[in-house]
Amino acid sequence: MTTNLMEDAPSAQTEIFLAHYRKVFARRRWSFLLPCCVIGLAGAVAAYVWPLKYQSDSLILIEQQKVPSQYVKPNVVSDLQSRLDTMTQQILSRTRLQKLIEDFHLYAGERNKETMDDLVDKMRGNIFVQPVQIPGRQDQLTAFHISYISRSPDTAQRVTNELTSLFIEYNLRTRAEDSASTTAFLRTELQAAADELSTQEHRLQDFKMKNLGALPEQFEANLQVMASLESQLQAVTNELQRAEQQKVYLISIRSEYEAIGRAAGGRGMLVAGTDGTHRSSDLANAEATLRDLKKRYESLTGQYTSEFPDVITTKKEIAHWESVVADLKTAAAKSPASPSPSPAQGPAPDPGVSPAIADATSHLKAIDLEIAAQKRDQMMLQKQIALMQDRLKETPLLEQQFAEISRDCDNARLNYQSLLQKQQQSELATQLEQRQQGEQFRVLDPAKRPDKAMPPNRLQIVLIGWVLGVIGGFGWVVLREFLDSTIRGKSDLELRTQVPILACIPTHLNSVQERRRIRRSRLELAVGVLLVLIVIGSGIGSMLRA
Amino acid sequence: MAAGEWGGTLKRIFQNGNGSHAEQPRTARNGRGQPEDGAVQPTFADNFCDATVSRGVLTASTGPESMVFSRSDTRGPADESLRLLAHRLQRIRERRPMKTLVVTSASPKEGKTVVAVNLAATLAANSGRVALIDGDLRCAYVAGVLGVPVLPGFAECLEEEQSVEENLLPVSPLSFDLLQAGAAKRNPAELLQGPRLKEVAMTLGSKYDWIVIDTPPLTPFVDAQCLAAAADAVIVVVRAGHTSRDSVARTLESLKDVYVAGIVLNGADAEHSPYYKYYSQYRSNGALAAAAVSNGGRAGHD
Repeated sequence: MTTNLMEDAPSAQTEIFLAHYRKVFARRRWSFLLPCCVIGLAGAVAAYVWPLKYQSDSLILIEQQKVPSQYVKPNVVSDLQSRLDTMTQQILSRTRLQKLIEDFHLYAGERNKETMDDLVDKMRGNIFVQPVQIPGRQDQLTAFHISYISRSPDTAQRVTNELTSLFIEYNLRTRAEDSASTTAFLRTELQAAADELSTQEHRLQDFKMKNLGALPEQFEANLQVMASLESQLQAVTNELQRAEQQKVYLISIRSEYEAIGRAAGGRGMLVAGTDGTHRSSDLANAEATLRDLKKRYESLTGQYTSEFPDVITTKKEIAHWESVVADLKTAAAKSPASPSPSPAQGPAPDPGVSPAIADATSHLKAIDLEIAAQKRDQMMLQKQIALMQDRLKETPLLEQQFAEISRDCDNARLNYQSLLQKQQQSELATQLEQRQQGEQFRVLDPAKRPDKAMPPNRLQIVLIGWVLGVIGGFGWVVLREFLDSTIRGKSDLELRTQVPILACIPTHLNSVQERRRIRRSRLELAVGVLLVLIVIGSGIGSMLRA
Repeated sequence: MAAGEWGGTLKRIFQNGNGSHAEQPRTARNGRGQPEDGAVQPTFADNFCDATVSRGVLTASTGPESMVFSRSDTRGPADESLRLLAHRLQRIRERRPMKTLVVTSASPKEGKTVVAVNLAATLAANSGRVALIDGDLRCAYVAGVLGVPVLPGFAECLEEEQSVEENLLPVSPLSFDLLQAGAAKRNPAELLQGPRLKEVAMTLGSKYDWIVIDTPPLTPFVDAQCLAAAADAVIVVVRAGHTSRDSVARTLESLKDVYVAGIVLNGADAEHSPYYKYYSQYRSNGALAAAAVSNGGRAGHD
């Protein structure tokens, strides 16, 4: 028996627990029913009075340009999504929508109550531009829907068609404008690049002219010239040494002849014969030198301008040797009548000097002239070598400047060529757009008159209203129960006081009150049935209206 | 009062017994505290005191038929609860001398008057000599509950104008004597704080086994405190769904100097009690048995 009592305890507890909540619900039934009915009926009314709306939709296909892009590259931004967004913003601008509202007499009922800005916002909320994405190729946009929601199906169709036309027209116009704008921009940039290139080329040319002969690109040639000059200098130096040795030799020969002449007494013949031979030899040497100089001058003028220092020096030497040749010729013509002694040979020989002495003297004079010429050549070569050395020293310094100027010039040239290519491509793309051969929109499905009103589903609204009503009713019951601070029963009282509870006197109804309670229960049952009927009726009504 | 008058009064009350306020008016009094015509003319105070309670809880406005259970249904759960209350009081008296009981509550409309009347009736059925005193000198209602004419009573005794014995009114069907509230000429608090209260209590204590005193609520008057101080024990009536927990705590705190015998929870729903089904079945079986006996008797007469 004890076991039975222990087994019965949980069931008794559960029964008490359930009875408690049943009692709470019975006590708070109107607290539950009133919010439930109010919210539920509000949902039903809202569903019933919800205005019917119609949606018309058109599908626009985005056609790619007809000429392949490898031949004509489009010069308008190819991100269709961003371009579509821009177009949407442009078309849904206040000005355009206001014009649509006025043209199609939209929102006639609301015009007196709401401002134009409100109506524009409302219309903006009723227009939808929805891109069509290809599964697996989310980044490629091939088509998009344009739809408009209105209370009238005809208005929905007309406005959707108008919006479709606006999109197509706007796309064509903006593409042509954007393309022309791109081309114009490239043209301007190309002109600027050409000016820059010209400036850089002039700068390079000026630099080259200013540093002619010392340019880095002439460095190797200068080195070769330098080597040539040094070899020439070496040769001239050798010749000079040889001439000086010969001069010493001739001086010694002449001294011997003079000693022999003085010793033999017959010097006069030797001296006379020697003087004539000496003059003819000098003239020949001078003429040979003049010929060499002229050859060299011709060679130099072939390579350099007349302002080149070597050319100038050679020219002066030619003039000098021409005067020397002229003098020698004049002296040769006067020689038999009035022989003149050589100032370089010390005291003039006696009239009876032997021809050998005269010849030695003559050779000596020629050697002197040769030595003088060699020395001049040597000096000239040394100057040229010094000049070359200066140029070679300057070359590394000029090289940096030259590289900078050359780089600027190359960059300007590359920029110009790049812009030129782009400008030509852009011209082609612009012509393509102007001929409407580029990317364009085409209406695939024109807007049609909607046959059926669009959601919201009224039945769902009704159901949501009743669900919210039930939740609200429960919430109100819980809130009231939570806020209720009155004593509810024996256990409640026992928890709060140590004083014994002598008796719990239950509710007592007399016959009249019992009849009244029964009447009230029937009334509540009727109200409950009525509510159920209202729920069902509102659902059916909403479905029928939908 | 003659027996015929009593019968007529009770008959009128039972015929009107639907618990409505208009049919159970409080006693209208003149400036001297006496009934103007011995009948019923509702006043503002009556309306204040007799608030209608529609849930059938034991309060003064429920009506005589339902308020005195022993006259209507001796097997009802309320009647059984009152018997249990009387039994427990008897057990307490075995341990502690106790004769005078004050029935009070934290606030009005908690059912203390009806509990007092029914407790007196139940005690009288068990123990014999019981007196019920309407101690609510400000808003008396016991006469209205019982449907008896308003007469001088407790107030006059306290003012020494009349003796206790001449104001005691036997309530024959319920087997107890009633001392009505009467009409106080002075402030009731002054009367209850005077020395006469103890003399009245002693007088009644010598004659009765139980003295049940109905009192006004503990707030805002001091009357109940005075009566509790003069009594042996206090019974606090708490009405479920009406009395707040704070009120209960404050009431018990204010009665900490006197002996509180216990709390009577009024209006407690017993439907979820595990014993309720058994009890209902017991009532049904009793009713069927009574009907069978009745039918058998008639058949025998026939």
